[in-house]
Parts: sequence; structure tokens; C-alpha cells
Amino acid sequence: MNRAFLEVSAQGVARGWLQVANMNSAATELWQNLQNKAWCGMKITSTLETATLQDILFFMAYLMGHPKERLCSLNPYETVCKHVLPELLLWLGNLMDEHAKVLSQKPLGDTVLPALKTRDGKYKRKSDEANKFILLDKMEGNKSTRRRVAKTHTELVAPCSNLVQRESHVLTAIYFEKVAKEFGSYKVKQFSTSWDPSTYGGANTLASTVYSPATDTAAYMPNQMVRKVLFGDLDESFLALPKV
Amino acid sequence: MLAMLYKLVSVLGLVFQSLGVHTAHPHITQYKLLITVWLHCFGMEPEPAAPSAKCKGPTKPSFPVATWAALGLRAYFDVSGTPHWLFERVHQQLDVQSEGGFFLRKNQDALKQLFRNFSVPESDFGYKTADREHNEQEPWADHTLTSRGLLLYFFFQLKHRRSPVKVKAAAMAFLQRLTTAIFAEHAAQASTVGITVEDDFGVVNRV
Repeated sequence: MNRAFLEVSAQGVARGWLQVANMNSAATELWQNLQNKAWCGMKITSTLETATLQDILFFMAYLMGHPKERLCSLNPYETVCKHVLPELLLWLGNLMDEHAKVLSQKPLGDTVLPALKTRDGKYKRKSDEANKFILLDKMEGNKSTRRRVAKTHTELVAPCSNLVQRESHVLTAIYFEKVAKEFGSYKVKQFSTSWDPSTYGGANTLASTVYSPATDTAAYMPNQMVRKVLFGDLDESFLALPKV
Repeated sequence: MLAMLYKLVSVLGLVFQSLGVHTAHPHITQYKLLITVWLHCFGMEPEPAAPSAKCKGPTKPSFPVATWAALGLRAYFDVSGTPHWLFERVHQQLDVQSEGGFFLRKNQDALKQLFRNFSVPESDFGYKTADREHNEQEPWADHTLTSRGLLLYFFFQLKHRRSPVKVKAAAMAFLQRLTTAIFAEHAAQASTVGITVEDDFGVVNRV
């Protein structure tokens, strides 16, 4: 068994490819053919002595697309591609992995990629969670009007993603879980409540608390925006009273 | 007693001000300092302040993320530190007729077969079904491929009969851009790879 190495320089020129091609006459002939004949609008532009990695990959791609082609009574797909490609993939994959590790050291918000869209130009419902995190991080400073501001960042997520709304739902659920755990550990069934219907920022808001004298534990309930009462909200029996 | 305490606070406040302690809220600072001095007299330490929102650090996912802005690629890292590239980001750039998830679902058997043929583990194929269970190893919902899987996906597009020529050309161009970018990033060092090939007489050679 012969042993040699394919050495690829920083410019992508592969030394040793000539050795490979000389062993397999089908590979040599096909390389020369692809220098003259275009496939998918491309040709091999380098020679066997100074083959570039791009041309080698193009050569492999052609073989993948023509697995039954025979040259010099040999099948180059079976004799070259099936042996060379796994090792090339392993080597290039490792280089990609290394580079990805370097890229992962950069802060997420520094490199923003646009939101993914379908072919019709609509936003994809669930794709690329990282963009959502970038948006939440950007909006950390916006304590009020978060929902409105989030809808303006259409380069990151869809305006209809309801990200901020979901964020507040999650926060409320986590808070409820904590409160339930605190009171649940004492098996409390009776509470004192106090509430303060007032106006905060122009909106009618109900701020309320619950307190358990038995365990001396209190908790704030999430504030509720109270909208104006509409006729539709009232029971019919109440509607009859003013008429009387 | 209260009046005396108030006077004491005011005097101490003036002393602090004369020493150059100024903030946006001088009264708060004065009281804070007074309380601190008071606690020190009794051998106690003041309670540390709650961390502010700015000290919490950026909001980010539970797994590391790498973004290759030049190529429009993004990778999520699994628990073992292996990057998994977002399939949709690549698929979109090739301008394939069908959507990414649909394409993977339709061709998953052929892709898995190709993975097997070229010694790429089937676990590198990260197609996520709608009814999948939460996986601690890969805690994301997007379709992903490992580096080797991604490279092989380009070759799949090039061999796929139904792929139009413009998709094949785009796949080839992206693959070449990708390899150029890898070498541009690793420009300092040249790399060597050992490869195997069969000669004219059917003998397998390690090249």
C-alpha cells in the first residue's frame, strides 16, 4: 500500500493531487475533460500539479452527480469519490468546527442575521431562536412600551411573534408558581386580601395583595389593567335596574 | 429626641457635603452614609444592594451560539460542544423551491442513506419532528446539521435529480465560498489531509 499526503496551502492549493490522479487513469481523464467541458456553468481551472481545493470539490461534486460514468474501463465514482470524499469531509468538518468555536466567543448581539422568511415573503413562525434572544437583550432597557418597540424590530423577528406578551406570560407563570409553592408548603386555605384600584400611567389598575395570618406570609398579586365596564359585561338583571 | 436626631442628620449631611460627597440625590446619600456609620459603630455590616439589571449580563440562550455573518450561517452547540448549523439559513440561500422542513422530511431517507455511504453518523442529521420530545443534548426546535452533514447536504443537492441547475450552481458556489472562507480564517497555517484512492488495478492506496 502506497502512502502520501494531500497538503493544502493557505491559498487553497493542494499539493499531492497529481499523485492521486496518476494512480487512477479515469480521474486524470475526467479532470482533463472537466477543464474543457462545463458542468452547472463551471469548469476546472487549475492543473493537476497545482489543483485548488475548490476544483477538487467540484470534481467530487461532478462524480456525485454522475455515479455510473465510466472512463478507461473504470468507474471514477467508485474508485475515487467513495474513498476521497469521506476523508475530505472529515477534515473540512473539523476545520469548520474549530472556526465555529472561535465564533462562539463573540457576543451574540454583535453579529445579527436577518429574520428568516418563506418563499412568499412571510416570516417563518419558528426558526432561529437566537434572534429572539438578541431582541430581548436589546429591549432590556425598554421598561415601558416594550410591546410596541418589539414590533418595530422586524429585521430580527416577525412583528406578530408576540414575544413580549409571551415574556410577560412566562414571568407571571413563574411568579405564580413561586407564590403557590410558598403558600402551598403551609397548606393555607384562608387569606386576607387588600386591594387598591387606582390609576397608573393613565390606566385603571388593580393592585392587590394576599396575606395569611396563620403563617404570616404575604404576596403581591400581579397588577391587573382594568378596562372600562361595558354593557355587555353586566348581567341582564343589573341592566333592568336603571330602567326601573 | 426626634428633633435632635433630625438635627444630627442635617449636620452630618453638611459635613459629608463639605467633604465632597455629592450625588444626584444628596439626601439619600447622607442618610445612607449615616446609617452605614451607625451600623459600623455597632459592629454590623449593611445589607448588600440587590444586583441591578445591567449587572445580570446579556440575555442569551442556554447553549452557545456561533454566527458566521459573512456566510449568513448560525450554529448552536450541543452539550458535548459540537456545533450544529441551522439548516434553514443554508437552504434559504440556495433558493430551493420547497421550504427547508418540507425538503428534509421528503428527502430524509435519501439523505440518511447518503450519510451512511460517506461514513457520516446518522445522528448528524438533526431533522426535528413536530412531536419530538425535549432533548437535553440538543435543546432547540430548529432543523440542524453538523459540519460534515452540512457539507454533505451540498453534495446531495448537486446529485439530486430534481434540483434545477440554478440550485446546483448555487450549492457549488456556496461550497466553494465556504471552503475559501475556512482557509481565509486559517490563513496562517496550511493543512494536510491523508486520502485514499483506488488505482487502475483496483488496489486501494493511502495517498
